Amino acid sequence: MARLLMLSVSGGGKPPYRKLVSVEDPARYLGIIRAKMVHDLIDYVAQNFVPGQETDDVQAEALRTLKVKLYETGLEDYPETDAEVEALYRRFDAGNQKNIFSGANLRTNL
Amino acid sequence: MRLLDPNKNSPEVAGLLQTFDRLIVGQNEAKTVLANMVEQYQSGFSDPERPAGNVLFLGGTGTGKTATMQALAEGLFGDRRAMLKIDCAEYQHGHEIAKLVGSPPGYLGHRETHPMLTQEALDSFHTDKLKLSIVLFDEIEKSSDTLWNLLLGILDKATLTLGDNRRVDFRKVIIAMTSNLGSSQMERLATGGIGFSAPEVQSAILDSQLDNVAKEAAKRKFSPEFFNRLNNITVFHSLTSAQVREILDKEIARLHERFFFGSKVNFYFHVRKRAKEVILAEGYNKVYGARFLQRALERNVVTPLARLVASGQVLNNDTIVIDATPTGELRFYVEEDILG
Repeated sequence: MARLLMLSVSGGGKPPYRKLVSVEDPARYLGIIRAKMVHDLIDYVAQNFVPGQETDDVQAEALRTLKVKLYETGLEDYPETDAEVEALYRRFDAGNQKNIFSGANLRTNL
Repeated sequence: MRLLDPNKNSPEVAGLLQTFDRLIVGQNEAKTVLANMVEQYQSGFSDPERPAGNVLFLGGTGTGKTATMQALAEGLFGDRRAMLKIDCAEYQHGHEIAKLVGSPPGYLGHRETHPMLTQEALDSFHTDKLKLSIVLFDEIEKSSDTLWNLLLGILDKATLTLGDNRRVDFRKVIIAMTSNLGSSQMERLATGGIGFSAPEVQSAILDSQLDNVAKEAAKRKFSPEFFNRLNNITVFHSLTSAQVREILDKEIARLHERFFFGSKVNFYFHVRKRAKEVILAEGYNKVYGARFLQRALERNVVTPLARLVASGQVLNNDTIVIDATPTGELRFYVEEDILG
């Protein structure tokens, strides 16, 4: 059965973010999303490569630091109200860093 | 002495079983039968004079018979289409068998009719690691008995002679046949007739009765020679409502994967339980099983999401929540910048 998990993405040379995701098979989901992130990162590096500015080491570090994790929320269904959703995000906001999980940030992350 | 574990699967078959569990809900007997066939073939224990395996899947429509074979192809070759699928409804007349084996010499179109069951076609699915092919005869009861007679030779000697006298070797082939025979009697037995609802958990006794009903129906339809050549006859049971919900979750998970790699916009989506019920109401019924679930998902989820993406209402990394109104209409929401 699908359940609601918190996806956490950090590293990869981008600001970290979290997302509520519905997952049926966590191991497969993690594998797929990691593959997708690496694919997007390679695309990003290729598109933004400026000779002399971005070294191989910087790119290698971005790939090395990419971390994709899933956390249990204990829920199956997406919360009913915005307040419940917000409470859920705050529960996983370990460092209480504002804006990390905001949509504005998310849109520029990948 | 060291104790051995005869229940331990090879890594390939363990992977295959994982694929089955990912793609097929329930129907454990069919999964085991197919996994055993593959394991025996890999070990070289298959009968050298017969196909690598043969199986007849019986059961109602939409219970996963064809999907199980597609899962086998996915598990073995990484592609659910990596098999030769023969829709037997296209072979209702005896002469149509020429489409499979080619016309014999002297008949009009002898050279023009290219047979479907050639050695090249079978071998095209072989990989470096696995020299095995899958041939599926779908809805075999719909074909003319000429096809069943053709299968007699294949099941017995693992060879087929084409219209131009070329011989095709079926020793490296798993042959599966599906049929709906007995499904209406099974449905009646399971539901207790009109006006009675089926228990969610079918008892072992009922399962055994359903098996007998399906097998008896197949026995009546097919000739004894054909029936006796079948190594495995597996009955697919109707899906419980919990299993249907599980199938829907698996289909939604497949949509996630499809969007991850196919969509121009990266987005996440949730289908609330209420919305799932609306999709189930359209995509599932007792007569057709889960056959129309994918169609219902395409209509209610994929098409609206595609429109939302195309119209620029869904942006990169948005989270879409699909909910349903009390009247059963689906609504699409986007998660706001909650902590922004």
